[in-house]
Amino acid sequence: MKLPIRSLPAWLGFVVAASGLLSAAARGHAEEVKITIVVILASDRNHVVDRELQGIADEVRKCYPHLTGFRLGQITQKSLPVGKSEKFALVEDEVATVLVRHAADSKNRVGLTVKAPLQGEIQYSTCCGKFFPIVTRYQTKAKELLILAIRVQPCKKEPQ
Amino acid sequence: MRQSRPADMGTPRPEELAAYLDGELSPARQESIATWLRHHPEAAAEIEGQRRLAGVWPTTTPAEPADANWASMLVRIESAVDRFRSARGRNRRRIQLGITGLAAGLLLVLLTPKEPGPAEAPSAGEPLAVVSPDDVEIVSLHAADRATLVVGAAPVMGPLVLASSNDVELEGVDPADDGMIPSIHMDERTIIPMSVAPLDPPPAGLPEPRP
Repeated sequence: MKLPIRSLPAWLGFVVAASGLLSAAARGHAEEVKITIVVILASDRNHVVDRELQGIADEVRKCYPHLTGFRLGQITQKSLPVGKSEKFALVEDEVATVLVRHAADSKNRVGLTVKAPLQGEIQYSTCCGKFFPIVTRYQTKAKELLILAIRVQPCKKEPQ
Repeated sequence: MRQSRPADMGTPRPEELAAYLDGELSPARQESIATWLRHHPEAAAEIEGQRRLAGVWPTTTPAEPADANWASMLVRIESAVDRFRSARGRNRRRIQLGITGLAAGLLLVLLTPKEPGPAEAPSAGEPLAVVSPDDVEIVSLHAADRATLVVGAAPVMGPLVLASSNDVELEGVDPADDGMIPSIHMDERTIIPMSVAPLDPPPAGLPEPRP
């Protein structure tokens, strides 16, 4: 197919514009942050601690020594674009609302605002791949204490 | 020595007896058979029985249908034959039409390009296409159900890796509707970064969370 010389600038303009749109779309996709929320239910009625929770159980018991049982509940992960909040189902119709305030910054930290049951919002920035625990005061009908552990991903490569 | 009877010479055959009964023999033969029957009473009794039966037959024979009846029966038979012929013709046309439609359908199926669709059943022996772990993302599941996953990785599989004091920075805490503000542990060596709300109400006999 022969392109007329006169239409060449128009074609070049179209290609540049399309590239720009594709690039913007790719950048927009990269701005998504994957949030994982793990529901942990703690109790003083048993001494069973799930294998995955031994570390956090030890830490929580520093504040509440009477909590002896720790078990995993619902695990939810969602990819959120920056600036958008999303609700995460927890237990017994309770939800946590998470807002991604900013993607990974120069310190490779993601800014979050989290609203957990029975408490106000917490704003913090965190590294990726590790969990930040929030011990709420919500107790289930079975008298288990609701604890959230929140993680962000993906992780950027550390600068060499 | 056995004495022969006069009629033994002319023992009639069965058809002659039947003809005698019907009076169809010559007078001489008729007379000779009558003589023979007089010397053979058992045969005479049989002939007499047949004669009585022949006399009863005309009185018991059913009446023949009238000519009008025969004529109407003939008309009905002919009309039935006509209906049968026309019905057979219609059936033949229907069969021809059905065969034509079937052939057209087969031709359409053969000429239509085949596109594999999601509902297409795999042929026997063909391995089922299963999504790869990269094709599926687990959004939410209960921890106890992780072992049932066939494809895809659960969001959390091993021990939870907790953030250290260098990993988290607190930027703000809003009070709850009732004014409660959780204890935020940051930059502490004795405990990992964590938000801890006071129990509401605290369990009986248990102290408030340790600062």
